[in-house]
Amino acid sequence: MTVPALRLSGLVKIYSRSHLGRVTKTTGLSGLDLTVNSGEIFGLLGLNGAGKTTAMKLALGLLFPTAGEIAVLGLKAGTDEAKSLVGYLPELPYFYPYLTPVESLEFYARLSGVPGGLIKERAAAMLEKTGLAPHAKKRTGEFSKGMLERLGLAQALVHDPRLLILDEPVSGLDPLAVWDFRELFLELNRAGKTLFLSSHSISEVEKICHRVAILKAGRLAALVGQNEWKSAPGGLEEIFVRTVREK
Amino acid sequence: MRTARIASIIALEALREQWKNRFFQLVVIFSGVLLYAALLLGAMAVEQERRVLLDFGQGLIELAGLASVVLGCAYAVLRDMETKTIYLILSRPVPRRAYIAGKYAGILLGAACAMACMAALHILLLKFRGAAPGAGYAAIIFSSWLKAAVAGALTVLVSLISTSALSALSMAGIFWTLGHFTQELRFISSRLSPAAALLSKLLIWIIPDMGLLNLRDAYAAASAAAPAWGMIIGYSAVYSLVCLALASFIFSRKEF
Repeated sequence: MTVPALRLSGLVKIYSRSHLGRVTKTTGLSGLDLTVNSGEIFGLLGLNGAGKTTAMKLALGLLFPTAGEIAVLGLKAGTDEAKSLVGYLPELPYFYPYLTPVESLEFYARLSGVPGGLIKERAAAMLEKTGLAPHAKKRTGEFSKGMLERLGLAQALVHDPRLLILDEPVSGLDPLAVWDFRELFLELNRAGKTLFLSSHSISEVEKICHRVAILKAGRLAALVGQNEWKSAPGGLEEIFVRTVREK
Repeated sequence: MRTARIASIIALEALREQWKNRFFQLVVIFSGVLLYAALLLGAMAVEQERRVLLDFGQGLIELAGLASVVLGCAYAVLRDMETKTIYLILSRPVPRRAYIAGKYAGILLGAACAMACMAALHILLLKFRGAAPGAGYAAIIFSSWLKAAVAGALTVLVSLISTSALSALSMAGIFWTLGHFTQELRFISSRLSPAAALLSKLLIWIIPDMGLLNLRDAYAAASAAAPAWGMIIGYSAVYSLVCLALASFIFSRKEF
């Protein structure tokens, strides 16, 4: 039996913020159960504040759960072993502005434990794959949003991870970049990678995902398979709207 | 072993950041200009020219090194947090203690290079004016770097507690200044009521003993004994390590 790429069990995240001795508590996730199978493209949909980014950050060890468990490819989330198997693209990737994309990729490859002899080769291959090769000598401080997003994807792939966690990977991109990203995601999936992505673009999710989870107020409101939205008259959009409007 | 390898990667990146952000060059140029001013001061001091040149130059190198380390340490982690570049680092197999140690080591390495360049420039100026730097010159510059290292470790800790670079800089400035008056604080505490003395002793433990590391004054005093290097290096190392260990503990509990 294949180990799930990601398993969230009874996941609760409550944010506590203290200001002048007054503690404010906000619920990010309240008892989320979700399993992402190895080899699938899994989409996470939800309104703003539904808990999509929270779930991703918990899987990466950037946040700590209040309760519940997370396993990444069978390993406890947040451990170095689990992190080495994951590539992460944040919603707005930032890079040291004084570095060129090659220098950035080499830095992240080193941190991810890519063997010294392979670092230059991997960095060059990722620049080529994400269409940044013509901009290899520019500093990232001069990059447009689209170029930063491409570099973000390149750094997520540089260590050849098995699971990709992509937070809003196509938001704000021009149509050509969206096309390129979609093709790349499908190619990565064909190569055996698992993709776990969040998006507000239902049409994009519909095009590439095998399954979709709809989050509502930190809970799993619906789990929808490709066949379901293909056979629904209004497609995934109608399922989404109906789900988030339900009381 | 892996933690040390990751820390060295972060350290080299922090060093490159200092270089590319021109602060390092700025420090060297700034010091060059001020050392030139020292020449003018020296000419005005007539018979005490060597003494004035030496003191002014060494004081300037110490302040420039301190500013470089304290500014670097106050902003290093906070800037990565604000710009969210930290996401791309901590989502990788990077132990958080290695990140803190690496940033600190890179900044210290940058300051060591800058101070060595400034010292070389200073010695050249002294030679140009026909004065010798003196036997304790290297020891004094090294002790200035140790003072910067201690202040830097404290700044990293304060920056993580306060999460504001400005308050970290202010606290570092206060502790650095108070650190030069630990002897006076000890004297005052011996004359206080038991409760106040206890508080004052606690303060003496927390404040870095910059007086111990102040070899400039020790060398200036003719009767000074040879520096107790074991004590000086040991104290600096222990104080800095305790600050960094506390900083790593706080950082390990931070969420991003």
